[in-house]
Amino acid sequence: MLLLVMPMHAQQNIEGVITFNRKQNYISIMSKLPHITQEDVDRMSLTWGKMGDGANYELYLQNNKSVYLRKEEQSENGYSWKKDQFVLIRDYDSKSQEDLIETLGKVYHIKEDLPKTKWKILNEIKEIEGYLCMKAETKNVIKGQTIHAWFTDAIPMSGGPEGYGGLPGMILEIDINNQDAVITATKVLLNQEEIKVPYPKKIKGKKIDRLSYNEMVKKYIDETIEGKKNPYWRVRY
Amino acid sequence: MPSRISQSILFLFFCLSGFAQKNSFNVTGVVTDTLGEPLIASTILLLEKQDSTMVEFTKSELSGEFIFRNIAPGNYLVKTTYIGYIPTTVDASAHDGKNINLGNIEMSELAEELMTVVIKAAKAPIKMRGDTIEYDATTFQVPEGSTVEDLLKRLPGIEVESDGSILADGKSVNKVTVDGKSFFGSSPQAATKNLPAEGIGKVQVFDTKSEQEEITGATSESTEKTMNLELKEEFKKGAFGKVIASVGTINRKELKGNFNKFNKKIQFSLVGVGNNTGRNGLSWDDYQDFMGAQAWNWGNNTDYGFGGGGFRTFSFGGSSSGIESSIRSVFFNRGGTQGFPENYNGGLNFNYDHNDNKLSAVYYYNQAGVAKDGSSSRERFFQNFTTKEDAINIGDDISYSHRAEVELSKEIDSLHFVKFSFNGAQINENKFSQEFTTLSEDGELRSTADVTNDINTQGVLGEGLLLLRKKFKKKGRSLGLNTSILYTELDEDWSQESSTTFVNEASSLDSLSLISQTNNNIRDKVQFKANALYVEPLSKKFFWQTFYNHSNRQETGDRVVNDMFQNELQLNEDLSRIYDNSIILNRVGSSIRYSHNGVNLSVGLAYQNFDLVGDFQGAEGSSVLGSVDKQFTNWVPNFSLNFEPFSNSYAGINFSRNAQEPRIEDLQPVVNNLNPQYIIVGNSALTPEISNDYEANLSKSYPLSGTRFNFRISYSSYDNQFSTNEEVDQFLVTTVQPINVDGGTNFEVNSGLSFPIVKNKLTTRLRLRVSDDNRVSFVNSVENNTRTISYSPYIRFNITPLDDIGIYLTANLNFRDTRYDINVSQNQKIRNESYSVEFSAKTIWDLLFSANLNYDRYNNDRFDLQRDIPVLDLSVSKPFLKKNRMEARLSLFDVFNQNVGFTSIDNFRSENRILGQYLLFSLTYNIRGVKSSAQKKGWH
Repeated sequence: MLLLVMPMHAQQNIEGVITFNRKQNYISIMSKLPHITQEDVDRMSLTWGKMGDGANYELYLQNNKSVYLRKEEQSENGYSWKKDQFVLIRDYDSKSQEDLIETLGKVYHIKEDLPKTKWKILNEIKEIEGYLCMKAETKNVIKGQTIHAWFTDAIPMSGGPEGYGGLPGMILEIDINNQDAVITATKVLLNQEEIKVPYPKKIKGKKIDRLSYNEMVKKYIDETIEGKKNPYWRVRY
Repeated sequence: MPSRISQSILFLFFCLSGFAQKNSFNVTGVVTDTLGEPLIASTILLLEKQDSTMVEFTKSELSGEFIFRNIAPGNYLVKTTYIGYIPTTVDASAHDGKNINLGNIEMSELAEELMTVVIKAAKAPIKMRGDTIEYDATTFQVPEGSTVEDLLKRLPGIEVESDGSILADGKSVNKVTVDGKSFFGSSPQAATKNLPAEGIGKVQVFDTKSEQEEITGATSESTEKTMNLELKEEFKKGAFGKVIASVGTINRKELKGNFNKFNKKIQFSLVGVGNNTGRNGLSWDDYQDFMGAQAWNWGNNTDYGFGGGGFRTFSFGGSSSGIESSIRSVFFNRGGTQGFPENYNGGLNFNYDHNDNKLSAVYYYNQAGVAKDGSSSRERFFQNFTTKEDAINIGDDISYSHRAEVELSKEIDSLHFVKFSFNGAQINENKFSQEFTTLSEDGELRSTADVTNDINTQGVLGEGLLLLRKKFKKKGRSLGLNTSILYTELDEDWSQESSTTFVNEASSLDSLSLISQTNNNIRDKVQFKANALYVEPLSKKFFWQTFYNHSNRQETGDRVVNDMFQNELQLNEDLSRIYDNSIILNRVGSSIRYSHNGVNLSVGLAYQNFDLVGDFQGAEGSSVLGSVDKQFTNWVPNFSLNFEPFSNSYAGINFSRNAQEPRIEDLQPVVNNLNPQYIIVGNSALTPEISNDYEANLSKSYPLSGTRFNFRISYSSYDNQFSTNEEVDQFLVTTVQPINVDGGTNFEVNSGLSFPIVKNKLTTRLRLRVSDDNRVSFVNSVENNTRTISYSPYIRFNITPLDDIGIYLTANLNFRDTRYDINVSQNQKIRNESYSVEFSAKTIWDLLFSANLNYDRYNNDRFDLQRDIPVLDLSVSKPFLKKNRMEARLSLFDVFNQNVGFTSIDNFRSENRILGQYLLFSLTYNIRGVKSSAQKKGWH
């Protein structure tokens, strides 16, 4: 018996929450930095070889809009670290988006039109949380990354985690640079009950356009690598 | 803004031109299954043929029909997808503006087997390449020890015949490659029957191309297939290691080697070191290589307390010495510079980590020897006189130890964790010392002592720990329980020969004391501990934490002292002791904690009780007999607040009260006459020392500019602080007894700032430490307050103008101002300065030159002391062989031959001979290749 979810009608208002788990493979990320030797990689794999549990994110869908943010979780070991603000709002009706990103010591607020991502469609399919997904590929020029997205046309909404979208269906997995970071859907709850979308109470941050923001991040990455350090402790990979 | 507008106009123009473009065309078609039934709401993608870039997408109608309108001329593909069907791609290129009707696009269903076995059960992605399908073999579970053949039998679409020949999609596989390379000649079975399945990542099956097809690129329907087995990444990893051997002048030698082999489950490592240079060469990296996944120990603190959660505490290295030291401490031992060392140590480590089971076992042998040869002098100030002690000392210490540590842990399920560990150690230590001391009062000789001590100690240790951690279904609720037992046995044989002369005020010999003693001391210790911690969440942000600590330490000792009298041993009844004592600690505490969004606040209180019980008696027939029986109870409050006031900043305010029980040997009136001019006796009236510790800290970093700043202030005040009462007799023999005093305080400020002057080229770091310490002690029953104010500024420049040059300049100063309230005229100001210049440059032929100059200067105006110690080390190295696997290095240590072990603290100075100038030639062989750099490695 096949337990795959059948497609919804495009006209249907999709309302629900998709939970994503984001895992990063620091060793693989660092092994690509020019100052890291094979010996460093071996040493890191020996000591830190096991990947952690990652972080959980939620993508809220309602009225053809989506909000992607870190899942609020109760700390289990009793110590709470402050999480950097990271909220990505997408409005597919007005074709606009708004990002609140805390990085490099400040909260930045970027408001712009939905960008057009150039996707290549690949010949691979797999199942994620009961949804049959196809594979697509794009590039992140700023960070020099190859992005693979697994999307499903069974959820006819062009969104996804980490701000990615523009495919003929919801993205349920993003794979950055061949498993350096993987963001996978772990729970899909759609059209089951009314949800309350946690829009930020106030949008407070330094207004910046995407171009200047990218330039700033790129400069930090380049300078940090030149200084023989890993930029991705501070900048999201 | 104008650019935005022009962009929009440009965009509009392209859109319009797109619509208006000549030769644009429509693509239509119908999506059906193989029986011709329409597939409704299937997704249809229009892709650029060149690289599959998506141009547009649409959905099919109820009739299965779809349409793409107004497509610019070009080469396209139309791709249809439908759930449960294999995506299908057809060509849809046009240049002449003619509309294309693709007709029926038939989609075939995914084979049930592929769907259920590959997609659903194994969750493996499947890849379509023309009509071949490929999937990831790692997701197929096979029993451990299975061969590739066993794995293949489980893969859909593949059949393995009884003779081992393989069929893929009904076609025979005539060639098996591993990572694209032919394996064991041409027989495919050789690979599949011999290779372990757990090493295989992907299985790819494709048509075997003939030689001709390879060249022409022409394809034909092939009847034979090739199977490629892709190895998993971790199975490609092998081993790393290196050996460094050095020989030098003045008979200096060094040998060091390490070797590691590891994969995802198992880590195995060896390390060995031998040298007589004192540079044991075991660095942080060596430690990490040796311990592997065990290098960083999380949750090793088993004495639960107020700390956040009590579990995730972090520790490394070892602090205790002697028998209770740990293997880790060998790697962090930076001693041995005060003499002529000779060290041999080495060990092996094994870590296993698989399916939530962990085992680690480590063995280490350590032989450390040091020969000392030096002198010291000490001035002491009393109300109406000054004394000076001059000593010449010779020492020869050696110790041999074997240690083994085994740890086993299991994550039973997501809620339960259990750990068991066992440590064993055996130690054999010999300490030999000879000291000749003169004591004078205001320049007049009062006493001389010639003392030889030879102490031989043998000991064993056994320690076991069992720990359980439980989480509950209710998030945030947790329980920790652990119990441990430690047993040590020390057998000490000590012989002392001393002759002490006492000179009276008329400068004539008053008396002579000759001691020839043997001392056998057997000490046993058993310490039992049990700890519990329970955390209950009161809400999402509030937690209630309760802990209990129990410790029971039992010590027994039998010390037999014999005097050699007229060549015969006679029992010394006054110094011999049999003792038996115990310290029981019970502590129970509770705290309320608030943890949310980077703010952590904890307020708690604990109640603790020490019960000290001891009996002692002299040797048979002696009148010495006594007992200690004391109970102490204390309330210990605790407050801690940690938060992040701004982005990338941390701040904390902490208060704690800590009680330290007296050491049992300080409580017993046992006499220690190791130094006949400085006799130590116990004090049964001692009570625990209470310290009230206040601390506040703030740090902030600015990632964009690279600036960092930190500040910390701390203050401690003591009640019943441990101190000493010294009674000095007319011959300046000091009898010292531990006592409790009030009024001691300690204040300290630490601050630091680092910032780049030129990014990545010139960075500076500044630090300042200021401390003000007040200590109370008694001398001949007079209270003596000593106040020491110390300032330590530090500045460093890292200069890295080019990749191949590294220059590091450091100045580290220490000003100490010590004031004695009983004798103000003896107040003194000390200035110790340390400067260093480190220079490295990589030049032609990969030659690396290094020069390190360390210049220490000691000043004390009170004693007219000025001492300069410049030490310059030079070295040149060059890597060679393929992959730079070898490196030759020539080093000259202490070019000026001025090195000496010098100490100057307040009224005490000592000087020890240490290794001076020598030349050393080293050869390194590194499997991974030597990568020398002119610049220091920072944090990655």
